[in-house]
Amino acid sequence: MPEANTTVTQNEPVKEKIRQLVGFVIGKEMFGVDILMVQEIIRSAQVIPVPNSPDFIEGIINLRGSIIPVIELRKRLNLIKREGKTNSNESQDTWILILDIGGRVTGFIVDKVTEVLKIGESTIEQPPDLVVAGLKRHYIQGVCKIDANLLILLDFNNILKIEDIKLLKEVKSA
Amino acid sequence: MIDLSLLQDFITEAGEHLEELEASLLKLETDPENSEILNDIFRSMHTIKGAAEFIGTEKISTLSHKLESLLETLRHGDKELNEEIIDILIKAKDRLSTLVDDLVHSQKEETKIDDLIEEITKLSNGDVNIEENSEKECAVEDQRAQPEEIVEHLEEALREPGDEDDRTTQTVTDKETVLRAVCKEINEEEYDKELFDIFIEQLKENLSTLRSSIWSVDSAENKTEMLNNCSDCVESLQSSANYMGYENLVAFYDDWRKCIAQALEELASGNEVLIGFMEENVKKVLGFFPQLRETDLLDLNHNGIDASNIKDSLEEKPEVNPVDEPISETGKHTAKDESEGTGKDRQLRDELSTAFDAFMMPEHDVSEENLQNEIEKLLFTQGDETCKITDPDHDGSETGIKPVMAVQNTNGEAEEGLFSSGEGVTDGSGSYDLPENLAANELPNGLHATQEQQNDRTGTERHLIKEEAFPEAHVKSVQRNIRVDAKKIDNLMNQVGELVVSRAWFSQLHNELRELQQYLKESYRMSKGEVKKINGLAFRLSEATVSLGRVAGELQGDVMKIRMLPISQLFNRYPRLVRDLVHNTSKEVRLKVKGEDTELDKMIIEQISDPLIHIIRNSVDHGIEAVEERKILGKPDFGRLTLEAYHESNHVVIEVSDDGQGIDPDLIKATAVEKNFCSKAELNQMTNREVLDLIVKPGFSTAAKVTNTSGRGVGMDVVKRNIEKLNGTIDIDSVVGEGTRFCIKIPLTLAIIPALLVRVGTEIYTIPLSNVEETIRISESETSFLEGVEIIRLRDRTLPLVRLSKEFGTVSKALDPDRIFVVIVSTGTRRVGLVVDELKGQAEVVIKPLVDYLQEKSGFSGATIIGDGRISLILDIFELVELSIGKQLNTIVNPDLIEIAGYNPSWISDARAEAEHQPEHSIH
Repeated sequence: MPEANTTVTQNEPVKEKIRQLVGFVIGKEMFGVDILMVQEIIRSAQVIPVPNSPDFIEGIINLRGSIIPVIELRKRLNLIKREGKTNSNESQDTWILILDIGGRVTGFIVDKVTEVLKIGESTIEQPPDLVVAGLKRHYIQGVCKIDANLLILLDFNNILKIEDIKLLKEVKSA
Repeated sequence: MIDLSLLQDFITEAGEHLEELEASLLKLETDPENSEILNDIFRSMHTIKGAAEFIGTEKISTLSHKLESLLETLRHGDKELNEEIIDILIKAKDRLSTLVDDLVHSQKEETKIDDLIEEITKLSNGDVNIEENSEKECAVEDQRAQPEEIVEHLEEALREPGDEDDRTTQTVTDKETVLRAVCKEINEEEYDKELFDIFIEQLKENLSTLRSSIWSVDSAENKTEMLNNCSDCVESLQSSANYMGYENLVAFYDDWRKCIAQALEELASGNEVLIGFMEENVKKVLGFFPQLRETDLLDLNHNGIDASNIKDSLEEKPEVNPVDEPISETGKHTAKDESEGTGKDRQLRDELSTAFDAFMMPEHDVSEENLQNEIEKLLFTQGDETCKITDPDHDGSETGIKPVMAVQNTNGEAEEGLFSSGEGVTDGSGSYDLPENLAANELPNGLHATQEQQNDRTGTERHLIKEEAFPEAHVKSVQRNIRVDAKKIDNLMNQVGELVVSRAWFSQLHNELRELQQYLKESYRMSKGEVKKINGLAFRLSEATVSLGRVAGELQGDVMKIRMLPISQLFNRYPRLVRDLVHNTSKEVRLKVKGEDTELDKMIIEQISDPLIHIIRNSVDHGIEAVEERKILGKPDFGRLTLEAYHESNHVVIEVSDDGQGIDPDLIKATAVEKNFCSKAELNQMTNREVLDLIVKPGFSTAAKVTNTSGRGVGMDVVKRNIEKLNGTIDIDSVVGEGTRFCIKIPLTLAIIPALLVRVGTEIYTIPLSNVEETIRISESETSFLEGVEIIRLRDRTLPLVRLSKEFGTVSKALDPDRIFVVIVSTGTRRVGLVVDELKGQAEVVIKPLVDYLQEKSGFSGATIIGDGRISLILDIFELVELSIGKQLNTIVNPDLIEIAGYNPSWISDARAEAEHQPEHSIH
């Protein structure tokens, strides 16, 4: 498991309630997701495209006999395309975060999974009203500062809102 | 109180019995003389009642109890079986089913049963049991007092709840007046015997609940909740009293509720609440109804009835009761102790409830149904006995009294057990003496002893009935079936599916090894001896693969069999349907069922049920003629409807055929033209069967007007869709004047399907073999375009082509671009050629669902994992064709041009008709 290789940062007061996050990177932004949501992290998997699906759905993978949809998080969040890389060789170094979102096991393609972070509850702030890194507020649970960087906590429940996905699909097929 | 832990089992069991019951009832209708069937019904009803009482589902047990008594009168021949009774029995069965459904959904019995109870009561009114009658007479014998007096007394009681007990002991006469007053009230009403029994039953149950609530109020954390419970109980009592028309009693309950409300208010404001008045009121109500002590004395003892009540009843006829004295004493204890203040009371009550729990334990442990019944039976006997003790005057009318008397005399020991237990209980509520409570624990043993001996000696009817019923119930429980959660089987099925996939993997490995062997031989010019080693390995691997395959295959078959159920489960529902359909019509239909042992996947059975209902409805409603008409036509009066099931290779065929008027093709043609489904020219080209297939089109109905059973034109379309969902097909065959036959063909299981693997671009796709008609290879030059739609002509028919690579937005990588592979698929009504790059062969695949947002309207029904571990999407042919036709239609600029050009391929007009009539289906 890649998690085993990650380092653990401890830069918070002891008494505080601590949240453990899995940190990952898309482009230059740092993101985080609650570790309890993460089922596993896989490096390479053969993603089979599903025709007539929204373009942020990369396809499906075979995870030990279960068929799991994989979402390209970059496309889902409408972030800027990765530079200098084409789709064809992308699959070689993708990381797929397998998350359990309310019973729906879904894979999310991210650029890189970095480390497990321990963050005090109080350091997490409400997202500013302004759009952060081109992201809709809707998708953000909170933000917190780590050193000089800003870590964005994503709200995967909204990212995988089924009604939204279905709507997007209808828009596409119309 | 419903015991939730056992509820699930109860629901399943009750469901089974209800099904059985329905089948028997329908049999009984055709064969009213058959006492065997009647006995079956009785047994089912009895079992349901027993289970319902055990689990604590009040309404089910009340209703089934009513029905049981009605059935008993039928069994004895006291009452003639007629249509009315059967109707009510069926209605009651439905109500029971609804109640069970309620339990499934909300763990509560929500449906009302009062109206039915009343009806049943009316029906069995004439058959009032003599025994019960005399009981009632004795109860109301000496009423004298004025109703006003009661209210007075009640008010008094409410004013000074603490003094209540003193009054119980001191002024027995006083209490008697109250009692008489209520009795008078009861007597004044021209009440119905059966109704009154129900009332008493409800009273009994509510009082028990109430009492247990009262006891737990002190210990319970949430007093408000407990008091609310009490309030609910009283309310329910009030409404039943209201129903009976006991105004004074209603007034009493009303006051009681006010007191509770007051207590609740006090509780809300943080004050201590005294709930002594609750206990007193319960006692008082018990005092109103002398019947309670007779029929339910012991039963209520279980629920902790107070000593004074027993004492009262025993004191009335002291000369027959040898143990009268001690009990009276304890009665006095009760009074004294209870008036000694609530503080001590509370502590003692806790103690008592512990003891009470212990006392209840043995009964709870009795899980065997018949044991429970024995207890029930025992209680009955007990009731009789007590009745006799207290009322020796009216023994003449009772059956089996003398033997019981004999038991009393001879079985001193059992008697002792019985009465000592009685003492234990009275002491339990009176002096709270712990050792004596232990005696209470012995009660069940004592009861059993008495009961056994009584069984030997008494020959009362009731006992005999019960005994008859027992062996049957026993045999059933010994059946070698286990109930398993369907999910577990699904999981097992999944795993087996994986195993089947692994098997495919192994054979692929074997092939690779063979290739390697060939490669080594050719490229490195290995000697024979060297190659032999590899050869041997390849051979052994092949052996191992075959062996694995054999085991996996058998395992798959066996696991699949677990899910298989005989189709009789499904077919048994339809006699009722047919009966209801012809009920009150001028038709008569005989339903014949064949091949009900045919086994089918449980899931399929559930999904095929509704389509079959529709087809049967159609046959009865439109197919079979009225009796008069049939006579004129020279057909037998009875319309014949046949349901048949049989296996045909990997499929199950279900046939529904009738000997009715058949479907008139001319009528269909006329409607088709009228409703713009297709043109006259097309119709002329169609075969009869194709014309018949039109009736499954959405919106197609030949019915002149919409009736309450049919005519909207939705039904057959839904039938077809449902069957197609199961990868099945439906065939319609009809001869005018002779009848119609619907033939449904469904694969045995849904989980594993044979499929054709094809390659499109770089991906492998799976086409269910059930949809594949044939595969052909044609040259590109054979295709032509028609208004943007690519078509080929195949054996004088126009076949539209769908290029999957285009459909899926991938690049075609055909081996030879000039020679294209076409897989001709059929959705039942429409044939389409799918252009693929390569045929990869046939395989058995395990269907795995896709997430809903991927599956919906995607043209895929799921995915599967093929031999090399890759995922292959399974095409949903029906949806795919709809999608692609929709897309292509969008590109057609002016569809009328087609007709001008002289072409009229039927599928285009089909699709157009659909696009016009059902835009939501074809355009996305």
